[in-house]
Amino acid sequence: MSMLSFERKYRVAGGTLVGGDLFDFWVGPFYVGFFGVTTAIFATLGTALIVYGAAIGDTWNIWQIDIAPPAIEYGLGLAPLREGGLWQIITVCAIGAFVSWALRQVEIARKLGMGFHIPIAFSFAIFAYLSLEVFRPIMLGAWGHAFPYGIFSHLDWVSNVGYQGLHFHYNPAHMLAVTCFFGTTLMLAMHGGVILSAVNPPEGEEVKHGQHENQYFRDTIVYSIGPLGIHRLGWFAAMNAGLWSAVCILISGPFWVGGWPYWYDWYLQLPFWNDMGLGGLG
Amino acid sequence: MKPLEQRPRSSLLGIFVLAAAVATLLFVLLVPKYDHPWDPIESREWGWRGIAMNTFTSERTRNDPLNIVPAAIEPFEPTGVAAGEVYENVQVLGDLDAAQFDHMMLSITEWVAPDEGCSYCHKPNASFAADDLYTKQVARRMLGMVRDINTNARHVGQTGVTCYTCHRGQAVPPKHWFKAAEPTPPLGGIVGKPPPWNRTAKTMRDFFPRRPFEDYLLDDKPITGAQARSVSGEVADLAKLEDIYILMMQMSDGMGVNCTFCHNSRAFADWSQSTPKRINAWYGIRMTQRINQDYLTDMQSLFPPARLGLLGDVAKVDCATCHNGMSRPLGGAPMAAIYEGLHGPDGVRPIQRETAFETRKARQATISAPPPDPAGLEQNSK
Repeated sequence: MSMLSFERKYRVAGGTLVGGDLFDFWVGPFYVGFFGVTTAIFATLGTALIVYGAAIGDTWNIWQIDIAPPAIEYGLGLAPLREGGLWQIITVCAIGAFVSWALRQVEIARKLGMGFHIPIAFSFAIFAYLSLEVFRPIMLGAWGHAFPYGIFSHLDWVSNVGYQGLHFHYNPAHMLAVTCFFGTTLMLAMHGGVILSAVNPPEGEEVKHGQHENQYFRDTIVYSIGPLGIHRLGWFAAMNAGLWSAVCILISGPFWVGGWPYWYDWYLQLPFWNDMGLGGLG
Repeated sequence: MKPLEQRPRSSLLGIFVLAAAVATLLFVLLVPKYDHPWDPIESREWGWRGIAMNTFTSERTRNDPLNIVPAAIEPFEPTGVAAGEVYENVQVLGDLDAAQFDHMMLSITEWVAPDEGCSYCHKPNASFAADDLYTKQVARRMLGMVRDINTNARHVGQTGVTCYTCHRGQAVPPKHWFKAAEPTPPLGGIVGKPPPWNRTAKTMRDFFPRRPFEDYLLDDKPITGAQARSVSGEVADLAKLEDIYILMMQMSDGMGVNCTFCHNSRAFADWSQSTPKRINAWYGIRMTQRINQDYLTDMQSLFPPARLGLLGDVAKVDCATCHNGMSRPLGGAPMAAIYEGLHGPDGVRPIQRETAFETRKARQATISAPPPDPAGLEQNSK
């Protein structure tokens, strides 16, 4: 792939965390680095093991291929390959690939003399994955609580974990996570919308810039958070979406085994209702 | 507005928002109850590995003192004489050995009226044969019920039940339900319950109407049609769906499990993806209907008004009455085993309702003209 004329200027040496100059080079458009190598190894091995798991499994139907974690009886121990061991190795590969990718992002940021906002944001997604596949199973005492690798089977897992809490939408951390997910996409849509509308004026109008964008939101919702602020806010909401979805699954089981609707019984069980002399709602 | 450099670095609003956030966090962490992973949480898996058909218990859900199995009274040496020859007016247990009969009576007292003692059913300073206390008449019917259940109800398996399964050392079983009024004042309130339900409610389930229990645990209405995918082409009825949900929440809560104990939640109606527990639950619903119809409602007139509900109905049972938050009542302790008097041939009666298994076989055999479908199996048969 050919390089753009100005691109060479940004292909600077250095910034690596591990390996010094050894992997400090590009393959086509891709920066390699030590963590590029480990990402490739983990991702390839993990994918190959998924294909192997499908090959020794019951079906090649893409929807029904299922590489499940060990049964709960295995606890936190190792399981035979065909009874969840494969899932355990693939999980190690996945974590290795995700973490390598984040560290590769760090190296590139260092190389370019930038902040670490991208790897920090990505690390929240990794945290959510680790919560589902490692932290929560450890707290519940069995790898069997993690989700399986398979399209239908992991949807079954999601549905069943939801119904383990009888009605998962009552999970307060889930509420926060959903709010942040929808919030950050709304912000992205509005931000994208205002930029596109500023640079695509009607026939005969000039292209508009920052103050027009600000004025648009002042006119509609009183306040414009500004060109830097919208990215801060969107970044914050996106990371909180990942954070609270991790929290919502970490508390489901380890910190509340019952139905989530019943969690709110603390409100009914506050000690003072009967002493307040309230009339009944006749 | 002042220029930026003249504005104070700390903002009152900021401090207030931060304080409110910290207060909210502390409140949420300290006030509600939580379970803890170091309890430890115990989990059991009911489906294929990996698809999270799991149930959990924690210290909070395991430590109900009502679930402690009481020490059994040691059986007495048999006398070789039937109770009917020793005592007068022994209508149910007349063929039982007199020693076993005494043992039975002592145990019933411990299970149902440990504080009141014999005089709860037998008037003091009067003949033990007299039937003048209503409690004795009820106890006799209840004994017949237990013998009927242990002989006929597939739901209780080999474990069987005793008086203690429901009563837990109390004259009225701690978990029971009454009919609720129509949701109109003055009796009904806004959820069919009289004031001050809104400030005495201790759980969200107190806010649910009782109609589903009347429909499904007293009457024998079919518990089907909750899913729009139903192959019969019927559209899911939202009101009925809510009723079924309330019934199922009672079942989950009463047994200390969740939906995945019986169902793969992706296909609730599909028996082939459900666990065997669902078949036993189906029998449990039929058993509960029979207890409520054939025994409790049948002897409603025996009870004094103080024992009846606001609408004058007898206290009735649901899943929680026996299970009390455990998937097997009292952890499956075989309390009934040593009591011959709790297993009686006179309790045997022809099974009139179809069983789930038989229904399913019949459905598969006569798929062209399916009969009425009590178990909701129809959705699975095509």
